Amino acid sequence: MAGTVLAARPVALPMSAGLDLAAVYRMHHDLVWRSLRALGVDAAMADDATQDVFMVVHRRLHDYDGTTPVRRWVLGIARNVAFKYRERSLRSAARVRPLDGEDERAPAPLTVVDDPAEDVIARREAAAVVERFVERLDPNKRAVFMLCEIEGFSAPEVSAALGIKLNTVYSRLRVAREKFEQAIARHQATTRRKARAP
Amino acid sequence: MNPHPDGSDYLAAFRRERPGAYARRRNWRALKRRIAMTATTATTADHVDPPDGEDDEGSPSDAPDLRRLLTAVGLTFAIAASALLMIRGVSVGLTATRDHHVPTMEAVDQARPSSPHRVTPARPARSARPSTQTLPESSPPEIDRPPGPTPIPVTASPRRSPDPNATPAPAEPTRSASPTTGAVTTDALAAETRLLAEARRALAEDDLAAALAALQQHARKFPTGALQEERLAYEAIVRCRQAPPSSTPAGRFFERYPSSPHGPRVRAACRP
Repeated sequence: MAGTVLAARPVALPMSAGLDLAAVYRMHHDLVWRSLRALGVDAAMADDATQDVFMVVHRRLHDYDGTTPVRRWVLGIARNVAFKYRERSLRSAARVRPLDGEDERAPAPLTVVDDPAEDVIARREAAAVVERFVERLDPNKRAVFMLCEIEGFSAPEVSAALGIKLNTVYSRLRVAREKFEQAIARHQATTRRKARAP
Repeated sequence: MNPHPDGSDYLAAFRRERPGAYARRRNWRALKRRIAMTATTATTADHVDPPDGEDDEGSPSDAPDLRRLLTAVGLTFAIAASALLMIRGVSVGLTATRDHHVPTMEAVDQARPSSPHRVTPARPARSARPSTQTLPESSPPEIDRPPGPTPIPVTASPRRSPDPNATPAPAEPTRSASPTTGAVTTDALAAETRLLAEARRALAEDDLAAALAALQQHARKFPTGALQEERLAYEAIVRCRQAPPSSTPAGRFFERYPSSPHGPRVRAACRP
């Protein structure tokens, strides 16, 4: 749907290697947003950081030579932007820390009023489960897990993007996968229990 | 969704739901705004002119005011020339306007012969000079025109000369070999534009004599030309700058107290 909107309102933006900003945005916006979250950007800042990434893309699109896949190129930019946001967040004196036990809270209640389809509700619940899981995961493991498992980057790509050893990527990924399977199992057990309850 | 989902189904749901279509659209709108703001900032970095409508009374010296006036007149001139040329079938690209480069004749020349994709078809006659409008039979519909500001019908403006026979004197050589009336009028407009651009350049270089010479040449050749208003504006600027500052009370005041805090009020009160 967003693609239709963008295609209907073309803007005069630079082109390089057959790309323009609208096309890069259309294809990689979600990846950038999620990668920024994976790289430690707060949810509240994810939109701003995403726009920053695409501002850089806009400026540097002329320099893009096509030797690197676009998604890897964009990920590199997202990594640098995320680094700046993390630094800013650490420096901020007004940083709000979650209260004890707040991270154990249940996902926000679903407000599906315009589309009552059960499928949509189930999908949103599942997405909320994953979101809760990655928020509680150790930041290092979260970056590896999200980039590999959600964005589909290979371990060597993640190794290069994060500047860590390949073996470290594999070990973090293995641990994160185990934790994820456990989290899913716990969630499904809870769901079954609630379904059986009168 | 799979009734018995496994981990991959959860991840697929997450991919689909985060960040969501709304965030995509919202970020795209914000991104476009930021890009536009960046472009505006970069363009205006070379100018000291405030946006339209902004009060400029705080300026301590006369120089910025003069530059604003020159720029305003130049922009008016550029817009009028562009509109006229679009009516005649020549479209000056939006880029020139966006970059705040006043389209000079060189730009117009570039747009005309060497950029066939920018040549727009002649529009149906809307001016008071129907005899000069020749519409090709095979003219494509208006929808093929490139996007841009709606051309202003020149003769609809009461400020323009109502004389429909205000075609230029034959002294100005025509660029086109075509003997049609439309071609002659377009060339006359080009000649007018060239003369006023020359005057504007001379004014910017503080060469008042050269500016006046160009304006007088314009007045001789095109006494009721389409750009008469622009010529009179430039003439006013030249005369004001030629007059010694001490010839008016405000001039005497600013000569003596160039940085006075009363300057803005004096300047506002003494405006013509």
